[in-house]
Amino acid sequence: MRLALLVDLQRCLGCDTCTLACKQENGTPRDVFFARVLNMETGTFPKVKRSYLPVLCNHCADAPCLRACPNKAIFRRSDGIVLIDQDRCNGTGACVSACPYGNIFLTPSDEWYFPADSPYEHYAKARLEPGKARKCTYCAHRLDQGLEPACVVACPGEARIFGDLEDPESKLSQYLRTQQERTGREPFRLLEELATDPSTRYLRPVNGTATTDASSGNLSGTRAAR
Amino acid sequence: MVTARRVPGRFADDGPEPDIRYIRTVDSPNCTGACGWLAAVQDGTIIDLKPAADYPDPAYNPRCCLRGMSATSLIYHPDRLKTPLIRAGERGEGKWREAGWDEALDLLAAKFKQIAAQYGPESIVFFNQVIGTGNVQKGAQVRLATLLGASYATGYDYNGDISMGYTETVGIDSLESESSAWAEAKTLILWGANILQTRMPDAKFVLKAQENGSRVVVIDPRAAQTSKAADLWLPLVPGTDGLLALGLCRLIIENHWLDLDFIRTFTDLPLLVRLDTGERLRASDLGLGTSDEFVAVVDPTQSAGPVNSADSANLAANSADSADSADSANPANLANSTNPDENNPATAGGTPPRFVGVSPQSLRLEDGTQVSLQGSYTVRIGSQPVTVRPAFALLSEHLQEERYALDNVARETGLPAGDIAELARLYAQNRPAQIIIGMGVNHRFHSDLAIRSILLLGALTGGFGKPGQSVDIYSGQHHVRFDISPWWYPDGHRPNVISMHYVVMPEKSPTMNAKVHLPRQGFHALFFSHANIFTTSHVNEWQRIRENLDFIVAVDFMKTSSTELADLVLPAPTFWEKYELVVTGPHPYAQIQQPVIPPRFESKSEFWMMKELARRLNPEWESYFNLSEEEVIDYLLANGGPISKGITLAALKKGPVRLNLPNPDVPLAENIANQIPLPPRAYPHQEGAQREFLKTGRMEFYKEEKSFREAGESLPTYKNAYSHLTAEERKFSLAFMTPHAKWRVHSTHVNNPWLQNLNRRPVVEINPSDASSRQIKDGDKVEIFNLYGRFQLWARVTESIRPGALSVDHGWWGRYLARGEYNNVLLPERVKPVQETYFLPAVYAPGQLWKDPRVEIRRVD
Amino acid sequence: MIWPILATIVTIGVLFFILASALVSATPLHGAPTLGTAINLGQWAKPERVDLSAAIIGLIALAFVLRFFGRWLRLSGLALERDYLRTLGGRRILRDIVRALLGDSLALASVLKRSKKRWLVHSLVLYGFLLMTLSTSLAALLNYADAPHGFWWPPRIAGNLGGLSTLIGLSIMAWRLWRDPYENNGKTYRADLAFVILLYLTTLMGFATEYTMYGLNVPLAHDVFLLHMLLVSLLFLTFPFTRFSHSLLTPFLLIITRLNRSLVNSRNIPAFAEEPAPGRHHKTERLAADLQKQLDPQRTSHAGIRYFP
Repeated sequence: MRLALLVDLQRCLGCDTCTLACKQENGTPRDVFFARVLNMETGTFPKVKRSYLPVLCNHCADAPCLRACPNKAIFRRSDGIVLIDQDRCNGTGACVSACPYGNIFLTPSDEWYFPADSPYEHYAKARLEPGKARKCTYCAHRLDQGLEPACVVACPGEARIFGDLEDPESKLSQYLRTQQERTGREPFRLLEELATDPSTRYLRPVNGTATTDASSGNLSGTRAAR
Repeated sequence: MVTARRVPGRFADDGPEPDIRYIRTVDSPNCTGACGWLAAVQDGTIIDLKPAADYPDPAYNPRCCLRGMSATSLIYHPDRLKTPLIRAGERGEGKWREAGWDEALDLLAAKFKQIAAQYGPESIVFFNQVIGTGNVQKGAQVRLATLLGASYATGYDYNGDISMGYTETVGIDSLESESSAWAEAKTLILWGANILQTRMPDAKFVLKAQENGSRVVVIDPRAAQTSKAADLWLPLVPGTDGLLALGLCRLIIENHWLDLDFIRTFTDLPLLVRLDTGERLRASDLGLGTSDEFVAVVDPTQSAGPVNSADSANLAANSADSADSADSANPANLANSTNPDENNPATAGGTPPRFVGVSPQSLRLEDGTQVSLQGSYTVRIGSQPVTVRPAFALLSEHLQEERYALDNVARETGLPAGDIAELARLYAQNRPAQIIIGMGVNHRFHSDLAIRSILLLGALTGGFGKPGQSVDIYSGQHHVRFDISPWWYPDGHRPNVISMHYVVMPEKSPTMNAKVHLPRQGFHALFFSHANIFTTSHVNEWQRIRENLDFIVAVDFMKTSSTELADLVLPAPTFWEKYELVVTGPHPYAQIQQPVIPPRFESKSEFWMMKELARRLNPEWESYFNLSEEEVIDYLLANGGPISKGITLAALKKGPVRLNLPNPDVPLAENIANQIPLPPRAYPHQEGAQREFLKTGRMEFYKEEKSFREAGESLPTYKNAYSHLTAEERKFSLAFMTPHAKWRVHSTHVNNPWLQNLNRRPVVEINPSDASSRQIKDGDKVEIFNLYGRFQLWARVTESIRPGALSVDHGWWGRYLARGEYNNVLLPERVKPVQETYFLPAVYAPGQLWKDPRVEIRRVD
Repeated sequence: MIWPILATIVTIGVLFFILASALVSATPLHGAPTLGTAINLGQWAKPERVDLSAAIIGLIALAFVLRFFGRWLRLSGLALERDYLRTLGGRRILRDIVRALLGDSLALASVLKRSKKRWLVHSLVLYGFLLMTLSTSLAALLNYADAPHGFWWPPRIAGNLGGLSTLIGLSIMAWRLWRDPYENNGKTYRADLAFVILLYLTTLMGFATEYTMYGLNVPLAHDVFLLHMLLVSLLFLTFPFTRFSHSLLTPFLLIITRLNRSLVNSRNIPAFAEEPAPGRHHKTERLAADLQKQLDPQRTSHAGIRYFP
């Protein structure tokens, strides 16, 4: 069993709802965002392309954070989810430096949005211990209750698909198959060359390579056959 | 082995299962999203939000966005208004006295009574932004204003969210398909519409259409978020949208890509126009009918019988008929065929033309006559010979002007000619094709012309009334979808409804429509609800107006930069703490808000406020509010007309209910399928109220009114966006845009710390070429200025904006800028005379010019 | 930035110098530059052969370590951050390095912060290990003749005390590894065990050397010592593959952590503070570039990050 999240960049609006759905669910302090959306622009005017890349913990099979942790606070569950044990974490920050994706968060002290008696602060602080490294858990607590991760249920583009990579009947595997058939897209992973074997997968946008050729006016993009 | 107990997360701790209630409601700030939410409430506190995702049509699940997701940060914001506040110091000084409701309402009633007695009740003006977000609660304010005989100012026109182009052509302020219909389009043209950012819950239909092979074209000077999905991005020079549209129209005509059947049936283009007066020829002029009816000329080659399917051969036949020229099959001859006397078949000795009366009550001619679009004819009116021509002939002649030639359009819009040609081809040939007009085209003095031009593009190709084939304009939450008038307007009375323009304008506009009734002694009290008008509109003008106002009352849930300038502030609950019926413009479901938590602090619903105020103003009025808020919802639904028939509060308590609409709901679909004359009814106005500005019952591309003729705007024409500026105003070299922000709904959420965490400070987007010539680097503090004002913020040097244009996200409060207010540089109020030809509040009323100022920028050290 | 790399390499160098010295020592009295072991290992282990083996083992171990750090360097993205870190200035960088090496790492401040008990066990092993290496090195350096120092020679006492402390610490650790189910992170459990066992054996073999040399004073001592040395070699050879690696990796990563924090606080590079989660701009850039590569392999244009609007 290997649980994984697939982000279909075609369907991603770049809206950051996942960013805040995650915050709402996990009660993170200021400046801590387990799920982020990178906002990129490429090229020079008028050949500019905007693209968005949602990132979150990749739950690598060979996770550098897990190896880097001097306290052995990071572990990998049998379903493939990499977690930071909050009891064992000492907040040394080695994992933060080790993660090539920049998806682990450790703030010297937690800063919050509102005074301590505000509801969010009240509930979030009760769950979090300060000075510990934190990261996306694929909402392991929700999975254990039979629910999908918060960012998945709150994606207005339905761009996030969650499931078991090793189960051919899982939602994720089925989605990948359908997309393979209909749009010819194959999933890719980030920083593959670092050999961390990440779980989180991406599908490139359908118009990902389309650029307008200003001189000819033709759409020169390569479109997948469908 | 190891469980998740040791990792952070909700309810991760041991201990008893907490007692949590889940309540379904709907968020409704001014974004038209109307997203259903499921709130988890523990001990009277919202601890979690998740999209409800319970729409019967699964395509709509889930509906949400980052702003809704962070609603809790507004609900529990420390700046919430807690009690009624009475000003203690000078206006804007920030000195307040907390008061009880009795004291506040007594004061308010006394003030209103005094002002009404002294200056007349009309001198009290009520204003509540986006009434569609509050049919019950904001409706209660209108109800009271009606009872009081006060003025009620509309925001839709004042905000510039509609710019009359749609009204002038279709007779209604705006129309939109439901978003799921977008997915049917093969070509989607997002014209100044940043859908991926401003309409997040609906944006997936654009992306899914693309996934299924549709082409998405984005027309926007900025590579905004939506350009992420662009197959073709056209970064045109700001303000040249109209020229692009007319250039496309010309290409459509040149390439025979016309839907002649549509043009003949649903537009005024076949109707004859008198060249002497510029007005339409009336049936009564020729003794063919009444003066309300019009005249067309029958194509002699196809005089009777059913209308053939449209193709370009028909057009060629028409032009041959009139031009009497061998090579007239060449579409270029469309415009050349028009020397009035020579080409008149009557004088040329051919068959005399047969004129037929055209009634605005019916779209089909009685005997199925095929009418001609071309030619020039002489008729006798009285004893005078008068030359008449179909509007289409005038139009095609107009489009032959050099400025609409592809090369010139390409030069002026700054776009490659090839891209424009490709766009024309896609729109005409890769069908169904959908145009969605967004805010980028509106908010300009001449944007009505641009929108008329875009509608023309649609009409020429028959691009209306099918799923995925329509010309939609962002309607916003002002657009009322069902008949709310029984609740708003008790006993059939109406308040003195005016446009906010006339409150703001320093002097009465010389061309103001006679139907606008201004109080003789001016406005003396302002009651505004959920509006941040002093910040998000003419800041300079408001400064002056406030001095003339004896009393300013603000209703809001948050201390805003506008409530700070009021005399009395009344705390309202948020959307999450009260009942409301939500039926928003483009979304096909009716939903209710129900209190997820009780109103926080001392806040009271606007309904309650109005009831209490009514009682204090006149004890008899209390009976008008003698029902509960839930009963009002049922009352509204029961009286809302066919669209809400059969929907009840009880059903809505269980979840969203689809309005009685076809699926998918596409504008004008019924009119086109059943040939019902335009326009559809604009609520809350009475049936037929729009008839006077759409006299033909068809899409009107020729406006015969004097004001249009004097302005040279009878036909959709292109005028430079800045041509109405004075020479002094035009001296500044940069265009200034204020698009909607990702992090806000207008200025709501501007102080939401979650969103501030992602959007740390206000920036102006500037192209590197503009920046380097002014020694501006990314991150520098800069000042933007023009004749009217100046403000400071930080530079974001980016390739994603066109050189010559600046862009500052709309909605920032002054306190977040480095100095000043971003609306400092706005042009003063000025209204376009053609938009005052008629007056129907929020349907036919002047638009706005937020995007017209020219500015300059410099670095501040 | 070059400083943390240099610091780490110097640290490695010092450790290897100690190791090399422990195995071989110069024989300055004879004037010749040939190296000789401090102890005659018997007829089948000629000093020259021991020298050669030590040098080969040392080189292989060094190669492993360099490869190991090469990977971590790439993972951490430090090289991508060079220009950004440079804005901090040498003094700031040096301060962060010193604090990370001495405070966080050597003084085990980061462990002490959370749990004194854990700190105690950790200290027992770390300082015990350091004492052992120090004493072995000193012995090798100073003991250029065949005559070993006496049992009561102070460095030797320190070494033996270090060994004792290491054994105690390791025993507690081993018990924890055995008893605590959370010690198995599903990935490095065996490597962790391997290090504890290896270090345990090495230390035990050290004591065996002492016992055979001073307690029994038998020629067997030389063989036992050889075995001890072999275990030491194995310990260093397997450095990248066992828990041993964290003794150098953690300081290295802690230096980076401190530097990044300084970079955010300095606000020298606005992007580091502007991003939603400050301090990872260089990694974000790398992800952007990687996506760019995925989307359009031919394109050479640079993907710029915009944090807002």
